[in-house]
Amino acid sequence: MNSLAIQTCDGRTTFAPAETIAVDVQWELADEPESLELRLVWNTSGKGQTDIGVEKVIPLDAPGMSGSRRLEVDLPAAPYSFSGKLVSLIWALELVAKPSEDSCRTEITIAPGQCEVLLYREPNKQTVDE
Amino acid sequence: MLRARDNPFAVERVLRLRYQFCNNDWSSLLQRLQSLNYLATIVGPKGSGKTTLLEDLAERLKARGFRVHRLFLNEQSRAYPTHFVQNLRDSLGEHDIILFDGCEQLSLPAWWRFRWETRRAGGMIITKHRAGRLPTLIECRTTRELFIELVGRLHEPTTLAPDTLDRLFQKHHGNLRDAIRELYDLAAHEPGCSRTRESSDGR
Repeated sequence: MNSLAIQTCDGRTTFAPAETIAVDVQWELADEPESLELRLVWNTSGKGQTDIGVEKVIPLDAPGMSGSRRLEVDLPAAPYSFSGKLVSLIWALELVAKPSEDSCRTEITIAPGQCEVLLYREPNKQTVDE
Repeated sequence: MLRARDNPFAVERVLRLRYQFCNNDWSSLLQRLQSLNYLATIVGPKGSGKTTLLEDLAERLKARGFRVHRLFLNEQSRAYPTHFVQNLRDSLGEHDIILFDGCEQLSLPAWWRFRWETRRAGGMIITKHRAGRLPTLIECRTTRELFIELVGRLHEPTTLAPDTLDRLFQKHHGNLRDAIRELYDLAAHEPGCSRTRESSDGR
């Protein structure tokens, strides 16, 4: 059975914009992959059609059927992770093996104060008027 | 207020719902399609699942060895699909099948032109709100029970009152897409609607 895993080195999932983070990836695959890559991606979620984007791709050289690596990822300065009632912008790290397309995903937050920007008023949380 | 990402009726969750037959199944549908020489119409009103059925059908046709070519027209995009035709016309053969969503956007003369220009395709399945142009493969319809079941899959166990669902089903005349979009707004403004997801995600 194929298994892939992503974990940030310090266990955090919330980060400041433009921060450089260390990410541990592990994989164990039944067949040798042609390629294995860590992707930094974003997607929207909400009432409208989903938009997606790939911010960064970090290929792993000669990954073999199993292994682990520590990778450094430079996070972007923007856009921030945010949520309103109509749309959220979600950042995530994905580890993808090809050609099998096996993958795993860890959602992260990129925002000032390491706290998702909320586009509505909520007590005790960072707010921006929608 | 509920974050969009936590809304149980967010589009990406709704799109994960697959077509559900009322009085049919895949085996009989594919048999009928074959008996119609893969020239058929999926008929149904807006929000009754025609596009979802067409998407699900595409996967099954690929599994049968067809090359599937998809075309989508709607009220905002109803021009004759010149590029689609130009790209395909000379390469179409018996293993090619065209899935044409929103066929009624073409006028009758444009439809006949399209049929002529794609005549070498091994099949064509269209969706329309009313029967016609090609033999009817299936009539998609919705029921209150189906609506409640789909809502239950998105929001289980649902805290929405049956009266609310009844009212929405009636208000949208069985258009499940529009009814679920209104549920999105309800959930966005009534955090109680999201109780299940928030607790199950530990958020």
